[in-house]
Amino acid sequence: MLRNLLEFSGINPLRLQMSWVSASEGKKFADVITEITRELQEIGPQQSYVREAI
Amino acid sequence: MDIFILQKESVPDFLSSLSADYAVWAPIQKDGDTFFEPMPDSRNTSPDLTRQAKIIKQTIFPQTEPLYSYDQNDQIQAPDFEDIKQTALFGVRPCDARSLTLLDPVFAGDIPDPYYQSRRNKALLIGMACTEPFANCFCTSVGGSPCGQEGLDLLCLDLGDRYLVSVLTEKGKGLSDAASSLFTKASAEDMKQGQELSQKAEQSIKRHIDLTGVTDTLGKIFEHPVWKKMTLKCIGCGICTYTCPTCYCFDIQDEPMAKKKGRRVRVWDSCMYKEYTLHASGHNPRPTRVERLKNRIYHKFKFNVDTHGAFGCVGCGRCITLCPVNEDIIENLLDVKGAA
Amino acid sequence: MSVQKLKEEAARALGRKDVKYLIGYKKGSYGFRVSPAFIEPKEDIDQLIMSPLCNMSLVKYVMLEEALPSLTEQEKKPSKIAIVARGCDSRAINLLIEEKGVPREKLYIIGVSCAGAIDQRKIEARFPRVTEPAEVTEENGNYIITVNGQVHTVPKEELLAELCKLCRYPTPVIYDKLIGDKLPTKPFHYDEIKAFEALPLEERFAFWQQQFTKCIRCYACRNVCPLCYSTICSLDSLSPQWLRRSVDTSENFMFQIIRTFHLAGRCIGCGECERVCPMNLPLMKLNRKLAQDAKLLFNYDSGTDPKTKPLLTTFHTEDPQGFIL
Repeated sequence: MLRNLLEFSGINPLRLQMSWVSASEGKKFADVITEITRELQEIGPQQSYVREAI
Repeated sequence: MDIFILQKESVPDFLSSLSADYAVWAPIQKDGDTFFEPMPDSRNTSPDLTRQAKIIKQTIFPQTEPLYSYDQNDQIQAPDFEDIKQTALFGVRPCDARSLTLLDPVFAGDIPDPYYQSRRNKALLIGMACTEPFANCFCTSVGGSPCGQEGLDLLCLDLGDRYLVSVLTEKGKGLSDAASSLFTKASAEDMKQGQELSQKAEQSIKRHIDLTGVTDTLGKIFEHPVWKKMTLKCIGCGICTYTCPTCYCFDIQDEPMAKKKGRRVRVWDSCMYKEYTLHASGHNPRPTRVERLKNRIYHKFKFNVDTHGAFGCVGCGRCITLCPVNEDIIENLLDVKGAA
Repeated sequence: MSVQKLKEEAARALGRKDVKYLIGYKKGSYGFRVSPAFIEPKEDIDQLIMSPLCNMSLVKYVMLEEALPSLTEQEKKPSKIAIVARGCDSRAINLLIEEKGVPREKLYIIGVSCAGAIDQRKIEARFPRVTEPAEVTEENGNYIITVNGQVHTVPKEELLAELCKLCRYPTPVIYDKLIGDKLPTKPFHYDEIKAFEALPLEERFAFWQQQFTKCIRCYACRNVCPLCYSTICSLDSLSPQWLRRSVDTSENFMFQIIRTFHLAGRCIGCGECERVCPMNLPLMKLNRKLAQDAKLLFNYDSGTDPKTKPLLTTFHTEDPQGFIL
C-alpha cells in the first residue's frame, strides 16, 4: 500500500522495492541488487522532496 | 497629511512600478482561498481583497528562519542581512498592520532581533481599509478600527471605482512621490465620502465585548473552575496560534545537513502543544489543555498588558473562524468576565 | 430524524446511573457553526441540536477525555460516556474498539442516521459575513436556511460536503439506540481517485508539490483525527527525530505521507482533516486512495464490525504479493 501511496503522490514506484532474501540465498541477493540498481540508474536520482543541503 | 485618489484601473500599473524596487506581496487567490504571498506577476494577477487572507506575519517573521549555519571547522556563517530585499506589502488590513506594532516590543525592543528587524525595516505597508468587516471581526473591542492607520505607511479606502489613499509616513510619501503620475489630489467630496464609509465600517462590526477590567479579573481567577469548562471542546490543534497575527512563540532546532555541515533554524511553535512546556526532566507545568488554553488567554489579555501595555490581540477573528471546534475567544472572555 | 426523539433519548441516557456525561452538538457562537456540547446529568438537555450544520465529528473527545483504561482500575462510579454518533462517527468508534483504544462498555452510543452535512466553506461563501446564529433544516432535497431573519431555499447538492456525497454508511453501524430511519448503504465508488491515478506521474507530482508548499504543519489534521490517538506520535518525536521542524516541501511531504500511511486501512473517511485544514489542503485524496486500495487489494472496509481485526495486523496467504520481487 505504501508503494501505491507514493506512486499516487507522484514518486516513481520503482524507488520502493521489496524482496524476501534469506541469508543462504547468495545468488538471489546478487540478482535482486543488480536488478534494482539497474532500474534506479535508469530513472536517475530523486530530484524533489530532497532535504536542503547547504 | 496628503490624501490622494488612485483609480482602481491604475492599480496594476502601481503594483508594476512597485515591483521594480520592491518584492511585492499581496493577498492572492489560490485553490479557492486567499493567501498573503509574493505577487507572481503584477500585470496579470490582481490582489484578492474579497476574503480575509490566511496569515500575514510570515512576511516579517518567517515560519522557518535559518539563523546560521556551521561546519566541521567550527565556522559559523550568519545570513547577510543586506540580502533581504525591500518588501512592499499591499492590501494589509488595519488589524494585521497593528499586529506588527504589537510584535515590535518583543522582537525590536530592549534586545533587538536582527532577523526580525532587517525585514521589518525593509517592509513598506500599504493598507486596505475594511469597508466590509468579516463575520468575526472585533478589532474595535481591543483598541483597533476597520479603518485604522496604526503601523501603515499608506492606507487605501475603497470608494467604489477608486481608492482614497492617505499618506501616513515619510516612507509612504516616498512611494506616492515616486508614483505621482498615478495619484491625483483628493477632493473635499472624496474625503467626505471616505469619512462616511469609515463610520459605516465601524458600525458594521457585529461582534463586541467590553474588556474593561478584564486584566484585573484575570489577576484573580487563576484557579477558577471556569477554565476547565472553557477547555472541554479544545483539541489542542494549534490552528489559533498559527493563524494569529500576534502569536510569536517559536522553537529553535539544530539540523545537521550533509557532509558535517549543519544549520540552526527558528521555527514557529505553539503554546497549545503539550511539548511546548515539556521539560527535559519529563515534568510539564502545563500538562493538560486546560492550563494551555488558560495560558493563551492570560498571555494575550494580562501578561502582554503587564509587560507591554496593550492587549496581545488585534481582533482579526481568525482564531474564531478557523477553530475546528468553535472555541470562541470572545465567548471565553465573556466567561472570564462572568467569573469575576 | 426527529430532534425531539434525540433529546428524549439523551435525557434517558443521562438519567442512567452509569453515564457520566453526554457529548452532543449545540448551537455555535456565530453564523453557521455548531459547537460540541458536554452535558452533565441534570443539565439542560434542550441545548442539544441535530441539523445538517452538524459537520464535525465528536469521536475525538472519546480519546481526549478518557485515558486508556488501566488494567488494574476498579471503577464503581459512573463510567460511561454517552455520545451522539453519525454514520462515519460510528465506524470510527468501531475502529477504536477493534484497536482496543476504548472498551465497548465505556460508551453509550446514540446513533443518528445522517443524510449528510453541509460544507462550512460552501455555505460561508454563499452567505458571507454572517454573525447572527443561523439555522438549517432539510426538506425534499433542499436546505431551508434561516439567516438574519430571511429564509432561503437552496438545493442540497450545492451545499452538501463533497465527502458526504461519497458516504457509504449513512446509518450508524454500532449503537445502543438508533434515532431516525435506517438509510441504505451506498455502493463503493472511487471515481475521483481513479481519475487522478490516470494522470501522468509528473502531473501528480506537480499537484502534490503545490499542495505541500501550502502546508504550515500546524498539526491540526493529526489533532482532529479521531483515529490519531497515540500518546507518543512519531510526527512529534524529537528523539529519534523523524521529521524536522523546519517547514518545506520535503518535510511536509513526509508528514502527510507518514500520517496517511499510519491511517492505511484505518481511515473511515469522516473528512475532519480536510475540513479543519486552515490551508485548504485536499488531504482526503490521500486517505481515500488508501481506502480504495484496502477495498480492492484486501476487500476490507474499515470500521464496519468491531469484532474484525485491524487490516494491517493480519496476514492471509491469499493477500496480494505482486509487489515482492
